Amino acid sequence: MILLSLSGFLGRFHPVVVHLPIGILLLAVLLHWLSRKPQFNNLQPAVSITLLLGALTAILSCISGWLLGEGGDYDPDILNRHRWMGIGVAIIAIVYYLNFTQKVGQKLPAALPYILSVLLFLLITITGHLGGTLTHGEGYLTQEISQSATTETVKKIIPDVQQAAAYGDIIQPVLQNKCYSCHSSSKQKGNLRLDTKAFIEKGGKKGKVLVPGKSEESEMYKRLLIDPLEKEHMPPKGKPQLTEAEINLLHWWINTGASFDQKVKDLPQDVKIKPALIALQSNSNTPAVKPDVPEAPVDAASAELIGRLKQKGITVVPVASESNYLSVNFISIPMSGDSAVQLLEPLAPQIVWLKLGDTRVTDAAMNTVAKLTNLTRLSLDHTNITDKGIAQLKTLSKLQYLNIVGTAISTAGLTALKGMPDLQIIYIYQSKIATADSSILKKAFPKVTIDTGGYILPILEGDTSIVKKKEN
Amino acid sequence: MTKKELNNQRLFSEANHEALHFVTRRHFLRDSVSGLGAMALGSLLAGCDWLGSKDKAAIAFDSANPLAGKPPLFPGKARSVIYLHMAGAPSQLELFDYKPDLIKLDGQDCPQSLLEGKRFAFIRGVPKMLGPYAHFEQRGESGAWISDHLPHLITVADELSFLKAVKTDQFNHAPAQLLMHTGSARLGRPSIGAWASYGLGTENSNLPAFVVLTSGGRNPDAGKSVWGSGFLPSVYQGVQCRSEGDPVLFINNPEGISKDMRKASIDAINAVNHQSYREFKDPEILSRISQYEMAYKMQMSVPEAMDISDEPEYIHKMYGTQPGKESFANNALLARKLVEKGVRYVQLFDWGWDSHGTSAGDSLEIAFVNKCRSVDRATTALLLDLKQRGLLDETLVVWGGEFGRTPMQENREGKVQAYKGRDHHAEAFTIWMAGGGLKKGSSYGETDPVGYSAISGQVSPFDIQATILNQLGFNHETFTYEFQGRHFRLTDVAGRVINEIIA
Repeated sequence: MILLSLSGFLGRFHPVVVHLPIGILLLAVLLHWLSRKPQFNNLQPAVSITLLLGALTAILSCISGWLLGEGGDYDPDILNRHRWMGIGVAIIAIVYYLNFTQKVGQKLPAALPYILSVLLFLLITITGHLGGTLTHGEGYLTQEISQSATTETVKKIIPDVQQAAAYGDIIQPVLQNKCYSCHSSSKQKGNLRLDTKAFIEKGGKKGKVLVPGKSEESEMYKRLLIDPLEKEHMPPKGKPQLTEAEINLLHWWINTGASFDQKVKDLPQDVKIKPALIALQSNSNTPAVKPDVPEAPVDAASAELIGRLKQKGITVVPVASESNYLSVNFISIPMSGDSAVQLLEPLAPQIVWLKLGDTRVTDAAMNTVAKLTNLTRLSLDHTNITDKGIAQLKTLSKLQYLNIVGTAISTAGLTALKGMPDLQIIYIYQSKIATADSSILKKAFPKVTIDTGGYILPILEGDTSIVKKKEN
Repeated sequence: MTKKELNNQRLFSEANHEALHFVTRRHFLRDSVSGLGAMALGSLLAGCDWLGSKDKAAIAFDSANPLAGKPPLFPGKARSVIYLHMAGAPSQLELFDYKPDLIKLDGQDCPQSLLEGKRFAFIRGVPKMLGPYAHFEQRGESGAWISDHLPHLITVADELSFLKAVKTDQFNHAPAQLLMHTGSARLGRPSIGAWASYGLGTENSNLPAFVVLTSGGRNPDAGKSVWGSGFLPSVYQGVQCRSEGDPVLFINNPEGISKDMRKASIDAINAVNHQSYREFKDPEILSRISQYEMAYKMQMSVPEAMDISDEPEYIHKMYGTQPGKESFANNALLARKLVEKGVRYVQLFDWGWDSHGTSAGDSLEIAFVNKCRSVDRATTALLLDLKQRGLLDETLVVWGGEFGRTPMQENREGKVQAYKGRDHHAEAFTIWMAGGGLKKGSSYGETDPVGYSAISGQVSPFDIQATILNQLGFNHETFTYEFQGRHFRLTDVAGRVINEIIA
């Protein structure tokens, strides 16, 4: 038993020892080739000793590697190739050394050492790469340059979630994205594979991971819930974690019997899981949220222009420290009027958010605002803008948020803006839009949320009274 | 001591004295300069970015205009924050964390497993379990559990994002409040509001960036440090405004001093300050000049912004304000007004939620119910009022205490108490947030069947702070301030943005 664990212990030295032959043998090859040049001729004696050292450490690496490989959690196929190629490196190194020192093969062609050196170089490279694949996983080397191939998550397109396969369309993609990197064909940490039904049912080193119907006894679910700082927590620290929805889906799948072939509609669904299932549907009605800052880059506005606005008391701030898009606010100068707004015109490409609320601007200023075509958010609340002014804003094709609270704008004025593609929400509280017009607005803006405000809280008994005595 | 030894000692000290004579003023100056030079080199090297840290978020500190609007790291969803802190820690088990099992266990001895290795502020020995003193139902489309104690809030359940398993590591009020607001249970760190105003400045140059309003008759236990600026320049600390009388003390001109005279005197003071700046080039002087100017502007704008009497009657009705009195409702209305005027961070503290059950005044049956009544209407009104003005989208509202309360009845000094009450509980409690780019009607985290500790979705005060900063447009890991030779963060070495509640 002790012998067994000792061998395992020695095996753990493989990752350290293995770098010695790599470095030393490559150095030997380098010295050998250099020593052909007259000016490096004096390196000749160093080659044989370097080769000898390299060969000895290669043998050590082979022994420790063999012991480590016995311990197990590696892809047998890659391990096999790595193991025999590693032994090949050691053998070639020995032959190379013997041949170089003229102990064997004196009669063989003089080019032999050079052929051996090239062979050794190639073999070390390939063996090293295989070793790296074993420890870091498939594709580790190229991850950074071909990120789309390895880090992109698999996303199934599910037109109707009820018709989807519970395992194949919902659970498997989760496992594939979050678990396969350590528990599938390339790696089997804890002797566990999760990539097929048979492997999932078989479990890992510590036994079964799945108890159909009982998530609280299933290791593959329990491990997700442990404190993320614990060693037992899965996926381990630093790896992408399951989202709450994914955990809920797994919980639901296990508790409904962990079926590998049934469709979603055949499984019981409680209130809790329904939203998570619906969210998987790719044609779900929630429109993609557009960012309220355009993605296309824009040139920086001239500092002089911005300075002039700031001089006037207008707040001009980039939306982010490395963005040239600007957020403009007149909040510090409530007395400002249309002339101040005109100053914004040269900044039309940059301004994306504009707040003119609580100022004295009128319809005349809308002429300028209509030219700020990158605007996504516009507040005109508590201003003297009327239907005439608002109608000009049709040009703001990127507008998402419009606030006309407390203005004299009427239904007719607002409906002039219908058909603006990105509009998401309009605040019309205390404008001249009658509550009775809600159906007209709904027709004009079918996809827009219209907040009418005017919320009333009922007077409840508790609002004005206090409890003095204990009730019994 | 022999004579020889004595002589030796004298010789030695004389030699020392003589040696000191060789150190002239020139040496002193030279040494000081090279020392300073080394220090300067150190800061130069640090400033060179020679380690190539690419995502350093350096915030420019412009001492002439420290509160000027500044961009965040990335476009934030929230432009401002209203943090409603219920000081004393409201009971999650009577408000949001519905535990039917606890009803069944009411009056039974607390199992040892919940007590072993734990410390409580007041509970001693084996306490009894205490069922919720509340009636719960699922509210709105989101099905959030909210009790009847908050009859108004239930109507806006679908606007809220609940964090049901917040865990802190402090079970006393002052350190827990400090941890919640400054990221450290010890004094000396800047508060979230100070960080926010340091990072973003203010939109309105006539008002402070960070305003604090208190109600409930007392300041929070942790004192003014919970809105302090710590090692950040002091201009970023919270400005506490009173909700009755003058909002800021001494803001009105003294009798006999006209506005023009005040302006003239500030101009004169600033002229002198400018002169000394030209002489000494100390940036703190510029800071002082801007403070004087700010104070003058605030004299104009603060009384107006802080005056709720010009609000229409129906708004007063909506909030349930009590004009002229110090009340949470008045502060909630003020918070809306200030955010509307561009104030970055409004911090409300409402004292009196410490329901131990030792007397009627801190009982769950009486005092707690009355506290709920005093904030329910105003909190709901604040959310709806922000919403109808188009401000809830860009204002993050946070509601919560500094910790939670035990599922056990408190038994102070081992005695049976006359009233229902719960002890301080750090392990699990509920905080909700709304607006500011969060998911509406969502809930994250779950506690065990008696609400003692988290079983999933546990978050810490650091996670909440990271999330607030994230919504304002900052990465809490790169948003730093250099102090005493290292870069400090609000979340220090912890914190995770709670993406689960972000829309």
